[in-house]
Amino acid sequence: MKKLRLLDASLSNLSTFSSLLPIAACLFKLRKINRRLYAIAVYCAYSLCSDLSLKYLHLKAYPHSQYFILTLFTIVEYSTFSLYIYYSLSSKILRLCILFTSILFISFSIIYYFRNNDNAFDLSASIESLLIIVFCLFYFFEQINTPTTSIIYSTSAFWIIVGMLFYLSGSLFLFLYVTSLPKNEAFHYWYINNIFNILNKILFLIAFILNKDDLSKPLPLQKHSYS
Amino acid sequence: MFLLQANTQNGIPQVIFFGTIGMLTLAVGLIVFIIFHQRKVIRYQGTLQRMEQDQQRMLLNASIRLQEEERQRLAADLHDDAGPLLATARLYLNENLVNMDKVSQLQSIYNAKQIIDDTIQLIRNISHSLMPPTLKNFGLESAVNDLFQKISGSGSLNASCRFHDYKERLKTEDELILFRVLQELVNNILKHSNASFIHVTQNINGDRFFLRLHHDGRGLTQSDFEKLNKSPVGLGLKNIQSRLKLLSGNIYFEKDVSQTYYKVTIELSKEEIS
Repeated sequence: MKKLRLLDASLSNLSTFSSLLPIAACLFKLRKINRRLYAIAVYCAYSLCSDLSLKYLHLKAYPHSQYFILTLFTIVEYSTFSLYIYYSLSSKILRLCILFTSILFISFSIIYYFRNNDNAFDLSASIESLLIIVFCLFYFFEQINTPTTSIIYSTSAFWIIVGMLFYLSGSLFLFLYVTSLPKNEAFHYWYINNIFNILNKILFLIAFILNKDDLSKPLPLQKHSYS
Repeated sequence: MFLLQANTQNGIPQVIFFGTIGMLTLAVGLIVFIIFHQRKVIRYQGTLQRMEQDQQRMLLNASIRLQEEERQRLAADLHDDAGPLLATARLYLNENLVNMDKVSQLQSIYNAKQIIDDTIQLIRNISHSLMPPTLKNFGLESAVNDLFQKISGSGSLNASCRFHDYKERLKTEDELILFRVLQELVNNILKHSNASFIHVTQNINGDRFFLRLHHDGRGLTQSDFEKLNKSPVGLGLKNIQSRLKLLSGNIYFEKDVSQTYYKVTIELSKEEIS
């Protein structure tokens, strides 16, 4: 039992400090990284601050503050992820779709925060996960339809999107059902989120290291002079 | 392991566990599909690009070969016709001319003059074959008319043309390219088709410029044209395509709806040629 708790605590600490990996890579390549990755760097920094405050500020006695931090984290996470995907897409319709959905989601999250008395952030987190998963599908759809000469995994965008997809699809069912569990048991399942969070940050780190913006387009065919 | 400790009464842990596994499998499946699909697309694009490059190379080779053939023909014309004529004229005008009697002198000068006139005509013909003066001075319509009059004059077939929307001339170099393409097509018809008539029409539809050629002989369809274009033979057709590429134009070979005539359509963008 003790070993399991230790393992759980280690996983939680690893998850918290895994945010440092992409942040360090970002700081290392500060001037060279493309602008879109700044959104991810901001997300990682915020994620670290949020996790640290939840861990070390002993907010268990203040569930409302805890709820506020988690809701704010959901909004920041959604905003940074959707901003990154927004700038990674070239289709105007898909971009408009993201913009419109984002306005709706952020408004909903704020209203939900003030109206919800249970201090549960599960619904907005679940909706956030679903929306970002759909946005990731937008990105892949666009990549499939774009003629290219380089493999998709040679770009940082691919690793960022895969990171988001793994993290949010892995945590989706946890967010959906966590409030249905008794509160003393719910934290037992948080290890799922921790595992995917670590995976997410490792994939983000790969993206920061690659730092290649877009896929290379096929060369235009040369015009020869036959005169 | 944590799942086992949790309360399993309501089955939620199983839902979370299997739901997570399911979502993860879907995500992995999606990513694997996208990577494999993209690889396939890249391979296909590579093949397409290689084919295009091969085609370009073939066209370039055809064009160079044609240029060399043209030079050889010119060299042969000059060497075999103009050279002997001028040499003969020189013989008539040699040093002995001053020692000859007046009648012989006049005869020699007359003969030399005749030969020089012939040479002038020969060089004019060579020059006209390089750049038809009618095309240069009066435009494509007149040049095609001129060419067709000569063909009809031979009596072997009836050639006619009608330009519906040709109030403004194209650039001279573009006209020359189109004229050469038409010349090549007409040459092919004369050589291979056994046609009894050729009719060319020109018109403009929106921003597209069309030249259509009809004939009632044996002709080519688009698939024949593409086949010949990819094979090492069919130098003339490759040359047609390489010339039209300069104008970003297209050429289509088809059999008329009535199945009686063959139709060749040259399509150009007005923007490209004006």
